[in-house]
Amino acid sequence: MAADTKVAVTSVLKVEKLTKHFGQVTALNAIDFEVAEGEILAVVGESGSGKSTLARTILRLLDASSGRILYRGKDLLGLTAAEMRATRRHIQMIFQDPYASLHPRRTVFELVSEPWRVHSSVAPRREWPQRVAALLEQVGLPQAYASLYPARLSGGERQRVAIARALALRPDLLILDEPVSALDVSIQAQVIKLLMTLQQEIGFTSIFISHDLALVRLIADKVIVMNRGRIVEQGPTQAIFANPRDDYTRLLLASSPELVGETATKEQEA
Amino acid sequence: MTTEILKRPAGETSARPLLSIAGLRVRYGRTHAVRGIDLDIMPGESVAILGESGSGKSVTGKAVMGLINPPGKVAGSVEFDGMQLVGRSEASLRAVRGPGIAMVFQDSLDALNPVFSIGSQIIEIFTVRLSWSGQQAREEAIRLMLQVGIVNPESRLDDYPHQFSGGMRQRICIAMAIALKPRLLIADEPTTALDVTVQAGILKLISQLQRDSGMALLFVTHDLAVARQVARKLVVMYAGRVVERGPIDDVFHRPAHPYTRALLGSNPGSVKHWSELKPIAGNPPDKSAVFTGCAFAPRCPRAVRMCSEREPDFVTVADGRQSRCHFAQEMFDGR
Ligand SMILES: Nc1ncnc2c1ncn2[C@@H]1O[C@H](COP(=O)(O)OP(=O)(O)OP(=O)(O)O)[C@@H](O)[C@H]1O
Ligand SMILES: Nc1ncnc2c1ncn2[C@@H]1O[C@H](COP(=O)(O)OP(=O)(O)O)[C@@H](O)[C@H]1O
Ligand code: SF4
Ligand SMILES: [Mg+2]
Ligand SMILES: [Mg+2]
Repeated sequence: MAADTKVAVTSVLKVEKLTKHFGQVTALNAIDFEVAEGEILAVVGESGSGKSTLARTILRLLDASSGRILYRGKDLLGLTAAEMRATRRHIQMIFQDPYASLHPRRTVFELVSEPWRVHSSVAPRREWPQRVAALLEQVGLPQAYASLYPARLSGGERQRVAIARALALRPDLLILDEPVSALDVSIQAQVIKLLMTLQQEIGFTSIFISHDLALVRLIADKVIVMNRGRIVEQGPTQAIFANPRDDYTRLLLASSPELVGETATKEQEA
Repeated sequence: MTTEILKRPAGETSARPLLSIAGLRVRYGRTHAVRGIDLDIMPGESVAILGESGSGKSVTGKAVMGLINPPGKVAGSVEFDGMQLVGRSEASLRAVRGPGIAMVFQDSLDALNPVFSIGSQIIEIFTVRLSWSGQQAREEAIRLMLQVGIVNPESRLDDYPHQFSGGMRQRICIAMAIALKPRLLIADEPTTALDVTVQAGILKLISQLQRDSGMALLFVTHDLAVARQVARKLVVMYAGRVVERGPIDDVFHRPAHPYTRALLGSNPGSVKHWSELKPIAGNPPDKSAVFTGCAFAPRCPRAVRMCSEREPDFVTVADGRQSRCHFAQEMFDGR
């Protein structure tokens, strides 16, 4: 990564004509977008629109059918398995379900330190206790939690553990696949605030996948709207919300329940 | 109370609640799922129950339906149209379920039988409950499916639940719930598992059905914005108790309980930037804890010593507005 900073690239990630087929299904259809340094890009769309497939294909957890994924100028699809493993250190992912994504038989300490087992150069073993303690503090969990198993934690606490683990390798790019949709609204606010505060402190770039437009409006610099594997519209968050050009984007916006303005019930009365 | 019923001519809108819950408690061993709920629903009224996960919303709905099974223990009173439901026999409860009270559950897959076709499941309601002929039941099933927005219902009668999308399955569950024209429909987070566009359609459908048929609605949700779409009255639950109630938009604009205010502050729809979000500090209370004072005290920004020593009663802060807080009036007055 250090060597690449000399190269004149403005984007952390540039995806070109990325396509993914599952048999007959085209889950990603010629996807093109770019994420700049420190930017938060939101990917919105309904279930089945291809959001998770996009995240997994970028991380090469799924094989792309065609296209390019340029991470700081290098095509991830051209890397050998060993090169990809090394690169993965810089690109971390947080999954939707805080109940499924943490191994139930591992303590919080083991879960958070696990990435260092794989990328052993990042933190020597004797530093682990100290580093885990620092990470727990960063995500606002008590130190005593290090010895607990996930079953004892609430959904919000589990997602904090997942965040601590993703941050353990000091990622350059963080991909978040619906990180709060399994959580209560009040806990969502905690986790979002934590993520955004950390983003400001650490400065990672991120791709935030969500179907919650109210949330996207609060945090994203840019938005991509996906429908059936295609990007139907993309642009700065303000512009998309104020002046959506695509019909599907308009439908999504109109369907989102809001706290202000008219409700469906009142419309009917009028 | 009974004499009052007799005096009121049928069909006239009465001042008597259709459903009246008083001091309802539900316990599973040491887990206090519901710790004393008081709630009235008038005929035709739409009420939303709002609360975080584990606050006892679903258990309340099930208790009203008489669906709490052992080892669960129910205490208190649930009166439906003047009839006490707590302690009633299963046979007599079964007569109430359907034409009296019906429920739509969060997960449509749990509610439908995977090995029978959708048609046979709807038709059965009429042949078994109303002893209708197969032909008549079939016609009514088709009409119901159309009513909830299933296109070409004839051709879909023989399909099995897994052949429908989540949104369509939920529409079918709604069709089955309204089949016997219930006077009260309980909907337990019927759209939480669905996409926003599908959710919008279902919420509209529920509102429409409720308006057209005049049935009362008890809508369970953890999402304020969704509650606003379907309900006129709001009931906020915390730790198995009702902490605030009132007309929904009034409560939004002027919450009279610190928990309600905190919920509003943590909703993304209420702010312009993430930094303005105000998460609720701490964690939800332990379900086995026994409180001497206010259950919200450990997380409440307003708490004083008295709060953890003495449980607040309901305070009426304005017409139709009540809050269970020692500082309810101050909260309401914005002090
Ligand atoms: N069958 C049961 N056996 C034991 N405990 C139960 C049972 N059903 C519910 N509970 C407990 O009762 C409490 C209230 O549960 P309830 O399902 O009513 O919550 P809720 O408000 O509907 O939450 P959610 O928003 O997550 O659906 C919880 O602590 C739950 O674990
Ligand atoms: N492993 C898989 N095998 C076959 N089809 C899949 C697989 N994963 C996803 N799909 C299909 O790809 C499309 C996009 O799915 P997904 O990316 O999970 O959507 P989203 O995350 O937007 O809800 C859907 O049609 C889905 O059924
Ligand atoms: S009674 Fe006290 S602790 Fe409870 S909500 Fe009111 S101020 Fe807060
Ligand atoms: Mg997904
Ligand atoms: Mg529930």
